[in-house]
Amino acid sequence: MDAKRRCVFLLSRHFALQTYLYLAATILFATVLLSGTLIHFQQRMLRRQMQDKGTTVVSFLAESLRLGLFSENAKEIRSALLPALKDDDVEWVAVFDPSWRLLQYGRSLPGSPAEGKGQVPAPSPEVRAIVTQPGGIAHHEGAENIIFWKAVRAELSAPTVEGLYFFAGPLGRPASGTVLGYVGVEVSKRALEAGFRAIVVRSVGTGAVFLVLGWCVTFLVVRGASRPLRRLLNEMRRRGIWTEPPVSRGLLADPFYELVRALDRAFVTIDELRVGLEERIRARTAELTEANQRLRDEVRERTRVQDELKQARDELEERVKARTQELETAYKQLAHSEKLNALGTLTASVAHELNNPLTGIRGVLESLEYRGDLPPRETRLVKLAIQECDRIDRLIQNLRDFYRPTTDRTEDLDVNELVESVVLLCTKDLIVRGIEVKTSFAEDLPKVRGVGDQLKQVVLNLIANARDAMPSGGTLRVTTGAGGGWVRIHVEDTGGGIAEKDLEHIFRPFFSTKTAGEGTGLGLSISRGIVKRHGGDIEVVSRVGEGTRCTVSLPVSAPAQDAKPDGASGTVRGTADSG
Amino acid sequence: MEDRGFHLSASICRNGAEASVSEGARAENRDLPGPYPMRKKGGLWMRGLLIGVLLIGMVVSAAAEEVLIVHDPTLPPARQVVDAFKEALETAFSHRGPRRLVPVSFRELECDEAGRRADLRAGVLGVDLVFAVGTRALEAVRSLPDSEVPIVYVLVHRPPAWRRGRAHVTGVGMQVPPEKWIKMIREALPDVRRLGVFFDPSNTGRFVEGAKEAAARQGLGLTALEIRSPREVPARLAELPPDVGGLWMIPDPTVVTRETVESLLLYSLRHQVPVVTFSEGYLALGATVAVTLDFPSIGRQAASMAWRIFNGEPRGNVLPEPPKGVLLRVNPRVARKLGVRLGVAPSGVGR
Repeated sequence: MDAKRRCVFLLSRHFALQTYLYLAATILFATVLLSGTLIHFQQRMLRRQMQDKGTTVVSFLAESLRLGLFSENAKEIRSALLPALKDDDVEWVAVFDPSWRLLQYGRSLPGSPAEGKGQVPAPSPEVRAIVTQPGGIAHHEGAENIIFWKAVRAELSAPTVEGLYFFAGPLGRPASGTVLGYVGVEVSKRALEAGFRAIVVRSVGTGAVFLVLGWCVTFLVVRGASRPLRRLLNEMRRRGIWTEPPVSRGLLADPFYELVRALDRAFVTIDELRVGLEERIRARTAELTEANQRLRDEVRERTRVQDELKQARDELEERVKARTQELETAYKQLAHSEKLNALGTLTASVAHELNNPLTGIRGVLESLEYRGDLPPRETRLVKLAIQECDRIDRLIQNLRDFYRPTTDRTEDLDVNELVESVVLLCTKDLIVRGIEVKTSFAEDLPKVRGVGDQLKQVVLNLIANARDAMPSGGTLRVTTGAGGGWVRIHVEDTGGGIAEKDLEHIFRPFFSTKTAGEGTGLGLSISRGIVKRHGGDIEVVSRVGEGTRCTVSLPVSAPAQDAKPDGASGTVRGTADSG
Repeated sequence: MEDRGFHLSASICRNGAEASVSEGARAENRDLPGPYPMRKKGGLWMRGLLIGVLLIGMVVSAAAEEVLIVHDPTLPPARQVVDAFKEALETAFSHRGPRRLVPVSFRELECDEAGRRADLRAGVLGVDLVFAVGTRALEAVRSLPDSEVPIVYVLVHRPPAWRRGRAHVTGVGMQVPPEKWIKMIREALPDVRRLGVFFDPSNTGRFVEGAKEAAARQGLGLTALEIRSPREVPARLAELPPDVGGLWMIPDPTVVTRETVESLLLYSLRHQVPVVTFSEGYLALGATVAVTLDFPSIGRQAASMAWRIFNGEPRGNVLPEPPKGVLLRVNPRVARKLGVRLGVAPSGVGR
């Protein structure tokens, strides 16, 4: 057991060491490469700087020597050389005449610049050719120095005399003038070499520091990375994935091959489990889908039942409301009928009481008439009184007939007689109200079968409505007619008419356009009920501002018919023409 | 009474610090005609006669005097000179009266291109006068075939010694007379008692001789040093006597080179003496006083000479002339640094 643990330890250490060595070598290679590149480029830059410096110095000298060479003044030439000789990098400066004869030579020495004629290397023909060209600067690089050469030029005469007058810029054209001489400058490469050495030292030092830091970081990283590896190997060994000691063919190949195989087996197992799990999930999903569908159907059915219940409840409420309204209407009709019944009884008793004295009065008058001894004028008066008594008698008889409780006994009725009796009742009242009554009854009017007092009530209601529609007077026209198996009663007034919005409500119980206390709103409703029970119809045509025309249509009676009117077979139409 | 007709005027220069004085700027206009006086009264027959003469003149002489202008475009003031010449000549012809309906016309050619030679030969045909601006222009018209056409030149330092048949060859030179030089130097530098001047006898020997005489007449000492090469100038500066209060740079091509100018200006700076020069350009380099040419005035002066030729003056009467329009310009900043008192105020007010 200890041997196996030691084996794992050695194996992980071996792997870490090898990895560390690889990375350290890579860092070393990169450091050397970068340092070498850096040194190379810095050396080139230093060399370019030195060349630029030499070019600048020799150009400066060529300009400052121009006046001294022009005047061939040795003192001027010497003073022009001094600034350049103070430069540490300048070894010597030499001035030549146009034939390359040495005029001045100055050497830079520690302390003060030395003067005199030293050993100046003769410029090559190539150098001479270059500096002879306008603006040409030649340089020659030796082992320890670089020598720069340049010509000193001057304009010795103006192109034209007039040109002297119109001078407006810098004097002359020094780059293309006459050659006054040449100047040579030797710049030492000591500074270049010193700079190069400094660069090498700095680069090597920087590279060494970078290398050490890189190695340290690499060591730490590898050590940190090997810990989980060791734990992995231990875990593999503990789980029995890998138990063999390392063999020579690979550092970590065997344990990792074992690990891969174990992972393959694990993945196979996972796949198997995954497949079974998918089957179970699929079955369970199907079950859940089915249950969900059932729940949806159940919810849908419940919703439908609820809707139906709600609809039934609403219909029931509507029916209850309508029935309640009908009951209220019936109750009110019943109460009104009771009142009318009581009024009829009272009227009958009053008529009966009036009829007795009237009979006596008529008897007296007839006696007076039969005596024959009266003057003619009085005889006429007596006859007139007898006629009035007859009229009173008919009136009382009509009242008694009208207010007599309905017998519901049907009979063949003469509509003209029926209508005339009602008009007779109302004539006096209508005349008092300024209403002119016009009647027109059709001849040979067929009889209708019905209850007489009920139809009288219908006609009376229509006349009463016409009367109320003409408060300022007017014309009431009552006519009868027949055609097509129907007998029609027309009640027409010249009142204000019925508004269109009210026309559709006039047959509704308790609907009234009259002021409170003047009407019950039941007249037309009751009349419609009566006519419907007789199998007839009521039609109302009205024009606002012109009047209203009500037409009651009753079927002509059949010879053998002796039954109660059945309203279920009749229809009632309420139409209006407001236009 | 030589100064009659000269006047002093001043103007502020471009940099605002320099002052200028113009002398005799319009002296050349004395020769140009003015308008005819109008007669207030005249008989009817006189008016008819005048109208007849006019009509006859229109019919007989309707052609213009034609001037061919050949100029060197490399000379900066050539345009000023040409414009002034044309304006002055047109003005003169407009005052000439009804003899010419079209008084004068001009044709211009440049002499800087070889191709213009042919144009020049073709253009000179039929012209009445050639106006050459610059030495190169004058050399270009020298070989023209028609030798009878008179030539008026300007901006020519040395008037030509050649002649062309019986025609006029005359013009305005560039050398200011020594008398005027000395006079203007004394005005500008009243404290200077002696001037040093370098000259090449082959170029400006006669001028310096005249200058010596003029200086002697006006009480100014003049130390003239002969040189044969520009290289002598720096060395011979040391030969100047100590009482020299100023250096006079004359337009001598041997004396004025880039290096000699530097030497003179360095000497001026080291010895605190002003440099008197002949061009405004040297003022910016360190010269103190410049006696420069008034180029429009030179153009008008040449127009006056052309007018005289057109009027038929004989050749011997229209001789070459020195420039009459001269400007005096100073650099007050340099004068202040050198400790030199200027005789003209930098504001331009003449003394």
